[in-house]
Amino acid sequence: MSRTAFRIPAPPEVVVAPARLLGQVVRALGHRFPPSDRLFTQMHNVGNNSAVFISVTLGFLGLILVYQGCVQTLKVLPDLSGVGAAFIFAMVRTFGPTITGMMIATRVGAGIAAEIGSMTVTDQIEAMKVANSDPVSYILGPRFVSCVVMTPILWVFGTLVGVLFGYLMGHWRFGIATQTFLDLGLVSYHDVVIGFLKALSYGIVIPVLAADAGFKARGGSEGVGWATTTAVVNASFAVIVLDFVISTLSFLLGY
Amino acid sequence: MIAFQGIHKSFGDKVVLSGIDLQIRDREITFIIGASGTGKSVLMKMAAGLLTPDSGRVIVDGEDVTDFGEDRWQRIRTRYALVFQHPNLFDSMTLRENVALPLRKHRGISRKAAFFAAIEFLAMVGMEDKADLMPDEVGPSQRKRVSIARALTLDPTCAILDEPTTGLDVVASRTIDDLISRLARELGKTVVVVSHDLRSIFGVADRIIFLYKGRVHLDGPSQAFHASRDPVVRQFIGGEPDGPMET
Amino acid sequence: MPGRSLDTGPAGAAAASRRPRFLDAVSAALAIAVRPVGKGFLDACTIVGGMTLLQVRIFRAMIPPSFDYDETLRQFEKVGVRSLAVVIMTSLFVGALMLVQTGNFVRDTGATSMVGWATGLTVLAEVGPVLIGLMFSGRVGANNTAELGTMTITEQVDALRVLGIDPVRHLVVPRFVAMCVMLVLLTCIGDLFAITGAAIACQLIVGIDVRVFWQGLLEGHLVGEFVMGLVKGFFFGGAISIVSCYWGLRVEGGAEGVGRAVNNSVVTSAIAIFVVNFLVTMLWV
Ligand SMILES: Nc1ncnc2c1ncn2[C@@H]1O[C@H](COP(=O)(O)OP(=O)(O)O)[C@@H](O)[C@H]1O
Ligand SMILES: [Mg+2]
Repeated sequence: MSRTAFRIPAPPEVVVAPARLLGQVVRALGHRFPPSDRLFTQMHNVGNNSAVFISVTLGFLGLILVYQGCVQTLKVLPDLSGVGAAFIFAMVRTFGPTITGMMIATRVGAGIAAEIGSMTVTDQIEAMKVANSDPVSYILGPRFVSCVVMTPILWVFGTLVGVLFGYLMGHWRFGIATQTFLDLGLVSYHDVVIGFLKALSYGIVIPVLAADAGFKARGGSEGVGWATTTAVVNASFAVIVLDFVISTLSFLLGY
Repeated sequence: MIAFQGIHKSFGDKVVLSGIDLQIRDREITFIIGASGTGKSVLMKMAAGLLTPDSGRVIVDGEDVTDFGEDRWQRIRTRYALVFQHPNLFDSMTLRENVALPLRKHRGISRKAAFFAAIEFLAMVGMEDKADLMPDEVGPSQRKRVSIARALTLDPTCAILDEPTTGLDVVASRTIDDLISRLARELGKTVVVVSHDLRSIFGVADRIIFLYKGRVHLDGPSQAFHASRDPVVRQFIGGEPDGPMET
Repeated sequence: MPGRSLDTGPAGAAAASRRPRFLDAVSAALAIAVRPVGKGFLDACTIVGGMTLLQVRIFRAMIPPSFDYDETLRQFEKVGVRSLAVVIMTSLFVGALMLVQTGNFVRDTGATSMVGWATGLTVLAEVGPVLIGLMFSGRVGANNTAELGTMTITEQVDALRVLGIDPVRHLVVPRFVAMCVMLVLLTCIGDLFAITGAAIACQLIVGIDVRVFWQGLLEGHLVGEFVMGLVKGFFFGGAISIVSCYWGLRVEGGAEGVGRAVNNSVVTSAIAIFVVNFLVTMLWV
């Protein structure tokens, strides 16, 4: 059906266009900050409405990581006291931010692309341009700010939920004592900063990539479908790449 | 034979059909007319089980099909050829594949044989030379003609055509009129046509049913329409913008 | 149905004057807090019920097999072609990523021999299949919802029904089969590339000799984990196909409806992936 519509864009364009869009939205925000009512609506949508979704996914992730950790550890040694600390370390630094980021890319990224894509194919974006109001600042502005603010908050939330469920698994299924499991010994100040930086960078790229796909939608429902799909894939992939880049840099810098 | 008995249908607060009683007789050409939005398409979809009435019964060949589930409908639907108002060809297939699909599915014939047979049906609507194009490579009126061809592949006993000539040029419209007469007169099929095209209405109809405000307003042969003194009918036939008719 | 029972309507309002104030406040607060939960619960039941029904209809169409082979072949090609590049790229990065993470650990403890085993385990058993599944859902599942959604609103699905062709047999079953099989193959390929990515990162970023990595990987006896990953791929493929077809066939209301359906589809698929992942691991290990 959409032989031509669904192709992976050539690498340069896929980076260049969102970068330009990012520049535009930052400049527009410096110029005029979105009014608080529209900002709060978007924050509610990005943050509160994602809470259940992130609880479910990160909760199951926590359960399974601890389960695997304990089972595999028991194969080599009978002592499970290190599992909790290692798990919390991995959650704060990698799994917390990245899986949260992927879930936001999935839910919020797809949502932004679907909304902007529908507006694009029904010519509402063009109408806004004609009426001399800037669609980037008006539509993307509040969504961008909400994502930048809410993603780190959801990182904290998702990590806490993941750790909580991991703890429940470790405590009830494997009998690890609460103090032994909830051991923050491996988590240093650096790890928290790195987790935060990851979450922040996801919060910046997800709305931009999603909006870029939305603005590029062409031609009816197929175009909207294309935009939504592209947004999810590009944003999720960007999360993985950013995670890799930040992890590698921090490793090479010795943090 | 299709019979509608006391059909009511609303979408949300919007009442579309409020008590339709009518019978489509076999081997006749019945035209259903009425202003846009009176629910003609809705009624046709009910005949094919795509929509269910809120109340009232739908009887097909003496069998009450109102409460049929999807499985039972599946078996009797091949008796119908329903051509939708908006052409809905499968847009991932060529025109030929579109027409061949029902043949392959129901006749159990090979791909090749089905493709061969498909050409005959395409020729019936004058589209045989475009067989290998994709639906979005031809115009809307040509897509409509192909969807008529596709609907006729299974040798249905009853053909329901929803606005077959809307958007077609005059020559193509008369081809469809000829096809309609041939289906009924030579092949003995029941034909139901929803139409706004006065030339086809008064040219080929055996019987005309005029829907107005969710009910059957007038039901009879073309002469009855020409003779009718009813102001709403007069306005509809005359196509005047002012009059008693509410839209 | 807590949301329902609290909704007393006009009668409740009439009784309000007779009741103490704070009880009203409590019940109003409860209604605000509980109603969304009740509604969410009912919605979730509807969705899960609808998907289960679709599942049943898929199985009924497969035993004995009576579905469209041409369409199935076409789906195989589409699913594979569409997702191969994304899966390969994701896997390379995920492998490298997991190795760098393990690298942090190894640097602290000095246990370099751990690296191959630990990375292999996480990649083959858990993280690889899940991330490949998520990317597959974004690429193939979302696309599938958009495609079926467009077919639904342009009445192509209805056209099938009037031609006496069952949309489940003709559209859903081929996608189900193709996604189940292809995601197993893709997980297999993805594992290969993830290990490659990890090996590269091991040598170039973490600076451990790649032979140490291989040795650790091979001595870890991870065949069971590898097979479990493939089994997960199979179930993820099934879940993604059912979820995406369900949302696609339910689309209402034009282009906007398609966008919303794709959004719902990827969210539901992500939940399904994490739940299925949990169940498979719990039952397997
Ligand atoms: N699936 C549907 N959902 C909601 N409203 C519908 C649906 N189908 C038809 N309608 C409404 O029913 C009315 C009659 O539609 P239709 O049967 O297409 O009229 P027409 O007589 O022009 O064919 C229209 O107002 C339309 O908006
Ligand atoms: Mg109509």
